This record gives sequence, C-alpha cells and structure tokens, in this order.
Amino acid sequence: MEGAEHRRIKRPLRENPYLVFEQWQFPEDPEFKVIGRYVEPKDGRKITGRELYMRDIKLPGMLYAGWLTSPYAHALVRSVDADAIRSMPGVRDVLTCKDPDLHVEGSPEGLAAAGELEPLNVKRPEIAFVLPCEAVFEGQPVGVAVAADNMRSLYDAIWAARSKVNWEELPFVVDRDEALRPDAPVAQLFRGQETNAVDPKSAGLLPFVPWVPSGASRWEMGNPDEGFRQADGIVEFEVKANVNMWGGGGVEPWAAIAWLHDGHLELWIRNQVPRKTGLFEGLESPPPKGLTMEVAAAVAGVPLSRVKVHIPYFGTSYGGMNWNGYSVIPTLLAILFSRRTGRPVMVLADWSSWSGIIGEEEGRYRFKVGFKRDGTITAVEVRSNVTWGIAGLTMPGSWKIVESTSIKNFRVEGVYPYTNKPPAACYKHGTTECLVLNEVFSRVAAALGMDPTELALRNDGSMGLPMHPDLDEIKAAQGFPVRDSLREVVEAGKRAIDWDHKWHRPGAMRLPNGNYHGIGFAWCPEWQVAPWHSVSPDTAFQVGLFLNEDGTAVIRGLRALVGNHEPSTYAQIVAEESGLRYEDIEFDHEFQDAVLSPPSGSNGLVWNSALMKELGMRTRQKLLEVAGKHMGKEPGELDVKDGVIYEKANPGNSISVGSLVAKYREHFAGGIWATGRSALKGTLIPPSPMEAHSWGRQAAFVEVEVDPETGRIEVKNVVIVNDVGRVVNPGSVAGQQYGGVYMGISRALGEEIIYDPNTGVKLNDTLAWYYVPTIADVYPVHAIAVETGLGYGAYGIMGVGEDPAALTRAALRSAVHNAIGRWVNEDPMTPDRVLRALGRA
Amino acid sequence: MIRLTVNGKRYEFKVGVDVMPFTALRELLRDRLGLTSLKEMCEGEGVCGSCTVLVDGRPTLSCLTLAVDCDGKEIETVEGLAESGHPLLEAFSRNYAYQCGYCTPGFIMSAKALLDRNPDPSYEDIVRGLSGNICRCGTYAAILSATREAADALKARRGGGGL
Repeated sequence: MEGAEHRRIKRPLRENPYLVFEQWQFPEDPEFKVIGRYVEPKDGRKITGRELYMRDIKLPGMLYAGWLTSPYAHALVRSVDADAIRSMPGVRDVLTCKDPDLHVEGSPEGLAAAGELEPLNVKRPEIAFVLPCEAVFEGQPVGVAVAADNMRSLYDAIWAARSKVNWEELPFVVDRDEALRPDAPVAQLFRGQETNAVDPKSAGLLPFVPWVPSGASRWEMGNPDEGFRQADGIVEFEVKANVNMWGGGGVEPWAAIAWLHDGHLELWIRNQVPRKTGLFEGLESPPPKGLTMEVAAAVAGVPLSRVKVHIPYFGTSYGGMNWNGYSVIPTLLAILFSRRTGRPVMVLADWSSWSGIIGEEEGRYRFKVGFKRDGTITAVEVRSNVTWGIAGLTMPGSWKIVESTSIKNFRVEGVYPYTNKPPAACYKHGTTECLVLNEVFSRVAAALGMDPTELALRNDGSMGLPMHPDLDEIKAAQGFPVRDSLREVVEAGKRAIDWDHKWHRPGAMRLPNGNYHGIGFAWCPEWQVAPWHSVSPDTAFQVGLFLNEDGTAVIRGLRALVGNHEPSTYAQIVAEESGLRYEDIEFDHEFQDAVLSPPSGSNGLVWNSALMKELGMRTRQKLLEVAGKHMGKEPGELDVKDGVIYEKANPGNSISVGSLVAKYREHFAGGIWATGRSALKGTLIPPSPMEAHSWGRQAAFVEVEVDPETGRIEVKNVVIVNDVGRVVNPGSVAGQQYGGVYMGISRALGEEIIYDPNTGVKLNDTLAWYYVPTIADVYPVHAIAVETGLGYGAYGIMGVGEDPAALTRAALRSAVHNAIGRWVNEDPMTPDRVLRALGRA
Repeated sequence: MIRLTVNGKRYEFKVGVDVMPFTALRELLRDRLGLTSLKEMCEGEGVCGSCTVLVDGRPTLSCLTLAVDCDGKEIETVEGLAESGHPLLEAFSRNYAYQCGYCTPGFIMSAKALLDRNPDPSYEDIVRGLSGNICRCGTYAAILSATREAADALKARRGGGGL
C-alpha cells in the first residue's frame, strides 16, 4: 500500500458543506478520455416533466383498473356481490376471485412460465394468485378487481366493494417466534400445510447460492466446535431487525398498462427484468424472474411476434420487488381486463397498500462468536428466524462473512416461518447480510477493546482463506491487480474522518452539551455477480449500434432504466472504445429483440459493461476497415478520435464518421452488434464459482452524538468509501453513494413498518405516518471512490449502489455503541430503544 | 367559469363541465392541459411535494388545492420554466441532482419559489425551502449544489457575478 500522498485525487463535482466527492487513483492507473470524467447526463429530459412515467400515459379509450385490498391480516372472501359493483357509475368490468378467467389453464408454455412467477414461491398451474380469495396479509390484493372509465369511478367502486364482500376473518400470526409455536394459527391456508415452517428445499431457493448444499437450512463450514474450543473468548448476543418499507414503496405508485387488440399485445411494464433471459438458467432451481414478454404472451394467448413492450421511466425501483411475483400482478391483471373488454387498461396500485407489500427482510439473529486475543475470529454461529426473502437464499446472514473473511469455522441455522406479513426481499444490498457481518465484528472489537478497523484487516479474506498471501496469489493468477482493497478503503476513510484522533473506548466521551460522542466503522464486500455468471455459461445478451449520416449513433437494446444514468455510462464506454464523441451517442432502451442483461438495479452497469466495451471496440474496427478501403490504407494505419477517422502518419488525411456512413451506407445499415455473456469481468473469468472471490471492499465511518435524556441520535458526519474498481461516471457514482447514505441512516434511525399485534394491521402505511428522510435530514457526507480495478466488470468495475445503504446502517449501530457503551439490540434504533439500552426506559 | 393563467397562457374552464367543484388543481392541469410534470407520490395527502406548482408565486401542493379556488390566478409549472430556459433546469442536470427523476419537477418548483423570494440563499435557507419535498433516491446533497448553482447563474444574469 502506498501512501495517500502518492494518490491522484480528483474532485469533479460542485461541492457544498454536505457534499464532498473524491476519486482516488494511483498515478500509474490508466487514464481514459471519457470514462471516469464528468459528462453531461443523457437523461436530463426527465427533469422537464416531459418524459413519460407510467401514470402519464393515456391511450384512446383506456380504462383504469384496481383491486380491493384486504383490511384484515388473514381472511377469506366467501362471496362478492359483483352485480352491485358492476352497476356503479363508470364501472366497465368486475373480476372476482371465483372468476373462471383466473383458473383457465393456458398453453403448456404459459403454465410453465406462470409457475415461475408465483409470488409466494408456490408452484400452481394457473394465474389465480393474481386475485386470490384468501388474503394472507393486510393490504394484499384480494377478492375483487374493477375496471372503470376513469380513476374517480374506479376509486368509488373499490371503496364500495369493501361492503359488497362477505368476509370470513381468520386467526393470524405476525410475530416470527410465535409463528413457530405448535399451537400457532396456520398463517397461509392455501399452501395446504399444517404448520408455518418453510422447508427451504421445497421452496427451492437455497441452491441459488452455488456453494450451499441444496436444501440446507443448517449449514456448516470447517469445524465450529473446534473453533470455539480454540477461542480465547466468546461473545453471545441477539439482534432483532424490524421490517421497513422498501419494496413496493417506490415513489411512483406501481402501475401497468396492457392493450390486447386484433391479436396483438402491447404492454407498458414496470420491471427490472422486462424479458426472459438465461441469466439464472443452469441453476437447480431458479428464483422467480419477474414479468417477461414470454409470460405475457402466454397469458394473452398471442405469439411472441405479436408482443411489443414499452418500458416507461420508473419512479424509483428497488431490488427484490422485481424478483417477486407481486410485481407482475398489475400487468397480468391489465392483460385479463384488456382481453375481456377489448380496451387498453391501466392497472393502478394504491401507495398505502402496495408500499407495504414487499418489505425489507426482518429477522431475529442469535450469535455466538469465538476469537483469539490477537483478534483472529475462530468460529461464528448464527441462528436466525428471518423473513423468507433473500436472506433465505443466502444462508441468513452468513453469506457476506463467507465471502469476505478468512474465518474458517461456521455454523448457520435458519428458520423461515410463514406469517401474516407480506413477503420480503433485499433492497440496496439486503441490509441483513451486511448487518450480520458487522455485528460479528463490532461485538468482537468491543470485547477485545480493539480498533475495529484493525480487526477487519486481520480477518479479511474470502471463503476461509486469508487475503495475504493466499488470495494475493489467486488474484495474480486470475489476472487481477494485486491490490488490497480493504486496506485502501480503510485508510482513505480513517484519514477523511480523522479516525485516529476521534475513536475512543465505548461510552468514554461526554461532550460539554451533555451528549455522548461516538464514532463507528463498518465494512462489507460489494454485492457481487460473478458467481452467478460462472454457473450460467450459456447466458447471452446482445446490443446493437446504428450509425447515422450526421455522425451520430444510437445504442439499441431492451433495458429498463431505473435512474442510475445508464444512457450516460453506456455512451461513455462506447465513446471511449470507438472514438465516437460522447455527445453523439444516444441509447434506445426499447429495442425489442436485443436483450441487455437484467436486472437494471443491482450492479446495473457491471452487468453490461463488457458488452458495451465490445460494442465500442467493434465499432472502431468497422470504422477503420471501411475508412481503410475509402482511403486506400490498412486499418492499422488509421485511428478514430472525436468522430473523425484519420491517418495516424498524416492526420490531415481524414474523413468524418458521418461522411463515411453516408458514402458507404451498405456497410453500416445492418448495425454493429456485440453478443456475449454479460459482466463476467470483461477481461477475466474465474475458473469456477468457488474461485470467484469477492475482491472489492467498502467501508463507512459515522460520527454521532447521543442525547442521554431523550435517546435521540444525531448524525454529525459520514464518510463513505467505495472501491468501485473504476469510476465510469462520477456523477452517477456520487449519487449512489449519497443516496445510499441517506437510506442507511433512515433505516437505522426510523424506517419501520409498525404492526398492531392485536389486529395484524399496519399502523403507518402512508407517507404521512411513515418516516422517509427529507432534505432537512441532510448530513455532511464525504464520499470517496477508490479505484483498484478489482471488480468483475469491464475495466475491473464493480457496483456501488448496494453498499452505502447497508454499511451506513451498520456503522451507525457501531457508532451508537461507541457513544453510550451499550448495544441497542433492536433496529431501527429509535429513541425509546436507545433509552432502553441506557436503562432509562 | 374560472380563468387561469398557466405558464403565461390564459385558459377558461366551465365549472360543472370542464372542471368540477371538487377537482384538484393537479388533475385539471394534468388531464386538461397535459402537464405531466405534476407527479403523484403520496396520493393526495400533501406530504411528498411531487405536485408542487407556483400559484401567484407561492409554492402550492396542487393535489390539495381545488381548481375553482385558483380563479384569476397565475400558475407556473416546470414546463413553463423549461420553455423560458430557467437556470434551475440546467443546474439540476449538470449536478446530477436526480436519479429516477420522479420528484424532480416538484423540487425545481420549490427551488424556484425560494430563489424568487431569496436570490442569494445560504445552504441552510435551501434546506428550509425544500424540506417539503421527498426524494427517495436521496439526491438531496446534489440538489443543494444545483440550487446554489442556479442562484449564481441568476445573479450573473443580473450582472452581479457568481459566487
């Protein structure tokens, strides 16, 4: 590790007291012409209000549809007075859960496809889940759906429908531990189970992580009992993380449009996975894939040649919601109504019910951690009771520990009871993973009185191997730079927050104002994609580039755009490699037949970086070949720069890209194509999943004050350091870092869906009652992007959006312990919980 | 009949025909005039700020404002700012002060109101002025930079130079 004085630090964005952004590179790191530099964003038209989001779209004769949501935590719809609803003004169609349309089986392909979309991971050869008769949580679409002439008629009809339904209330259970008791009510009758226990193997999700034995809800690595025997000390503790509102809670209420006419289906969909891909194929049991054109075609009964998809902009979209079957209900319902009415139909979800449909995972974790006096962690045991979400996929809480430490001995046990709460998934990293990793490290550091950054460095590694020297050798063998990502991000962060002067013993610093001062640290590997691709060698994606006679170019492919500036980053990579000008390149994201890699959220750019690099290189090659013929030169004698092809030995001998295209139209009319596996490093391919180590590390440092009288936590300073491999677009990277920090703080301090234990009903399901941070919560954030080239994307890039949200939450927990000298064992750390930890409540 | 001036153009709407007594200003502007910048997040609770417009220069939640109460008033939306080339739009774009972009028009209108009444706001002033808007992507820090940059640009236009 070289000293920071050898760094090259760029600060490309306008700063203010709350925003400092730096790119840290070594002088010997490659310099690019477009990549890593500030560029004007390509999607700036969004801010004029003229770009269309789903609810802005109007089609001739369009109907508006919606559904009744359950007011009960658990209930059956015994009957519906559909005629009474149908007779209301403006109502055009009424669908009930008993309707044959929901139970008619489609083509064999349709059945298989719909089965993959089951929202609750149950295979059923029908699409009844779109509108069931049994509600297993409050807010679930249930019983009856309505299509009406306008929104007012729709809302009036849905409101009236509440009293037109004959409900049977059923016993419910919302507490995870209670759900496992022998006398607990069965939470979800339709499954046909007699208990609430989930068998992970039957649910078929654990194989998602390739190194986990199939069906394991209990998993061991090494010899944990021996690890505990070798330990000089053992800490045991329990942490509870409560559910928050991330999945459905995008800012734009969920909606979809379908128009089935004359045997053609036109869709306007909102999903990060717009078309079926082979991304997860090859796995024993793939996870749900979200809506695909293939499923829509099957449900509509039309061939794929007659399906056209539009993907309007999304008003935010986060992770797990797009993997879950609930994300497809609006679209499937729109197709059904359009089939029945012959009209275009927009299905609207209401925010208050939909926002709570997919929450972030909640869980209770019991830990036992053994450690040596020098900080070496000898064994970790995690017993958890968690929501059946991504945590269920990834051995609750242990994935990140396995992926990013040298700890050799694990025991992980997970139970995932069904309850009468909505399903859950991960958003922005799946905080549970990062939280669990950092609980282990924070508690051991506190027990030893050790600087937690030193503890992290001591145990850094991957899959039981230490980073030095074992993994360094593998890095070199696989062609990665032999850099120490964790050390680099830790040193950058410590310097920025002045850690060496501020870190102190827990509870040891009281400020003149009576508050406690605390400082915390958390770390994590970036959420990686390489193992998935490694087990899916046949996955292929495609993208095209079309050149115009004015020298401009359009990248074409099918891709949902969720707000991470991909039109800009794609254009940057293609411009870098092709010699075209960045400002001359646009991205058409609705080209139906060239599918870019989903999803559009996590690792959004990483997925497609190699494809874009290849596209840029092929474009340059094509330009040189055609220009060579025109100029009577070999391609090697020519170069492309700023949209002009020229002879290297005689730059005056040149032709513009536009002139070349106009003159040799036949060479360019078919486009230039790149096809291949997505991401997969672009340059380096790990030989097997077990050797696809996660090299990149991320760190957060948070400084707080805690008021011992009120329990209020005030965030004073945040430093977030992300090894992004290589910065492609500074504005986008900084945006992900800052956005993530706000999300992490709000998760740690206030975001929580409160359930009434007496009714199982949400008490704060609207924005008026649910805490979402505003600009008044702005915190001074120093964001640093470190560039090691250790990622699996082209140029060694790795994702940035996942970790800040998860890390900041974990670092905040550590900072509060450092302040008050007590652990707050329930998250979020609301003032009452802080006071309880202090023994004052 | 109600008469509105929207982005400098005059419109008349018949009450009971074009606009009902209970029609929110937001619906009128979206449905009748096609002004799609007025977004919907909180569904009429008045807590997200996504539908903010200026009514006689005051930032107003159009979801909670009856259209008939706006008779004779001047209304400004971000579409109007786009037509006039207001520096706020360029500043939001240049500073990457948006991600998904859904809340951005509302933020820009709140910022416009702030800069109209306080051409040289401190960052604390900006925080106070924009605290009625929600951005789930968390672009707040960049919004601060963008608003301050727009203030500088407006000052330069007036001949006062930038900070």
